[in-house]
Amino acid sequence: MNATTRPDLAREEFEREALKHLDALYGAALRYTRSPSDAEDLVQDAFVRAYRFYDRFEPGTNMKAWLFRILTNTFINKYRRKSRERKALEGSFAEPVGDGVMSRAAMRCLTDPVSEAQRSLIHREIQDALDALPDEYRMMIVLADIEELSYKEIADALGCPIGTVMSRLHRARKKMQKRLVAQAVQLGIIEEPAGATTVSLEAYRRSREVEG
Amino acid sequence: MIGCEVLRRHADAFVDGELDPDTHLELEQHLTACGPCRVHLSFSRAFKSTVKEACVVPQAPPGLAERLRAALDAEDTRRRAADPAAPVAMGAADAGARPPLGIAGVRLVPMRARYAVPAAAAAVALAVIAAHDTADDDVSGGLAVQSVAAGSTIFEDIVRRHAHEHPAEVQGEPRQVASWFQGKLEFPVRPIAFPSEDVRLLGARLSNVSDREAAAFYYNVGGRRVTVMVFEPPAGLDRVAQHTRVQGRGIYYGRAGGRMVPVVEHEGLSYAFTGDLDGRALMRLAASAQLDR
Repeated sequence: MNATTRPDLAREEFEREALKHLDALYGAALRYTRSPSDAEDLVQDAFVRAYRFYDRFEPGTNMKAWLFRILTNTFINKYRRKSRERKALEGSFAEPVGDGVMSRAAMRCLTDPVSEAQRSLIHREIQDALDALPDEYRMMIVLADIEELSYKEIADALGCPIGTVMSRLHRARKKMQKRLVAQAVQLGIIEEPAGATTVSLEAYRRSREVEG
Repeated sequence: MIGCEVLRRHADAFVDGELDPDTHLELEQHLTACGPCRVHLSFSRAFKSTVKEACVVPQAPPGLAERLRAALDAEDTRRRAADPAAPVAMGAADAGARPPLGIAGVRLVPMRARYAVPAAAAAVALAVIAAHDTADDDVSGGLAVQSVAAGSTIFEDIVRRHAHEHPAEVQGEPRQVASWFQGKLEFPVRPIAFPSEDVRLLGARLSNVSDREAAAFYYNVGGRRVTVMVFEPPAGLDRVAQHTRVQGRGIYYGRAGGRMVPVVEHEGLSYAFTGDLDGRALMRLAASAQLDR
């Protein structure tokens, strides 16, 4: 039981517990809405909503995941203004992204040590790539990679099956990676020589067949 | 022995730590033996951690926590107001048989539909109207004092709701918006239609006016933002609002924050208009609203 029998205690407890996650909530809200003022509004709406339903929160369970569920739902229900974004999943974004489409050289842009300047360039590119994703995919990256919620928590937050979380997360990452690599090549952070050694699965399999 | 295909298929779950320990171990075994998969996996790992590094926001802006506390205070106030145990300003006569707004002769609309008033209550209503007609401080005297205070904040409240630009909770065709409200309010609402083609419904949300639940509708009127709040009429609005007739329709109005707020009463609901239009345009808009449901 919460301290709901004493409204003042419930308020105190809610405020104390929820405010611990304020930075994370704001960060996610900022990534969701891409606007600082919308992000503040979203956090406030979610906060008041959570407070309103605080008696439904089960003590001992994950407060952060619960708050993120409310934040995410509030975002989905209230802040997604452009309905065309919803169609993104059925449009070109629904194309298969394939697997292992990247060259080794491309992958090195993240795995090999780079200079500080390049690093901040890459960070910038990652932020842009994230902002460019449709809402459904962006939420995945925010929840899985930035907030590091579990698949189960994400599925709960979005009210969808875990399988959907996995496939959307996969697509979201591939989308970002493709863009990121293209940008990295353009910026000269990595070189993309013609006929670079790809690590595509198909190529790998072919090489094994030849060997074998 | 697990093959590359299996590893690639589970790469995300592997990196996210979502695999069961057995599968995880098997994949690790594969990795020790397979160079391309190692490259693939380390890229996936690096991607995940770089995204976090690049995108994590270290801190909420200063002042947000304070703002949230204020929002919780407001919620507490709203709750106390909604609590039937708390002292209420509105008496029984108000709840059942609110006198139609207006002074004698400018009674706006008969109460109908779900406001069908039992005969006895109707008699009370007539008595209250009569009281209005003759002596302002008779039957409704006690009520009025509180209502004056409530009435003056109502205009401020409506203007504040508009100024805050709270995001819409629902968007779409008027019919969809109307059905979204079903069961959310004590009274049925639907977006108002306007004859002018310059008026476009942007969306709506649940809101409140003073202590009352309200529906807020957002319109675009020739490029300007207009908010229409719909709520159950507070008592004594006629004492704080002025009254006029525009295009044959009785309209109450008040001002707050430099804005005009026309209020039209219809079938037991109040429709308050405010927005980034001048007072006259708002009046005309209120007069043209098609309120019949």
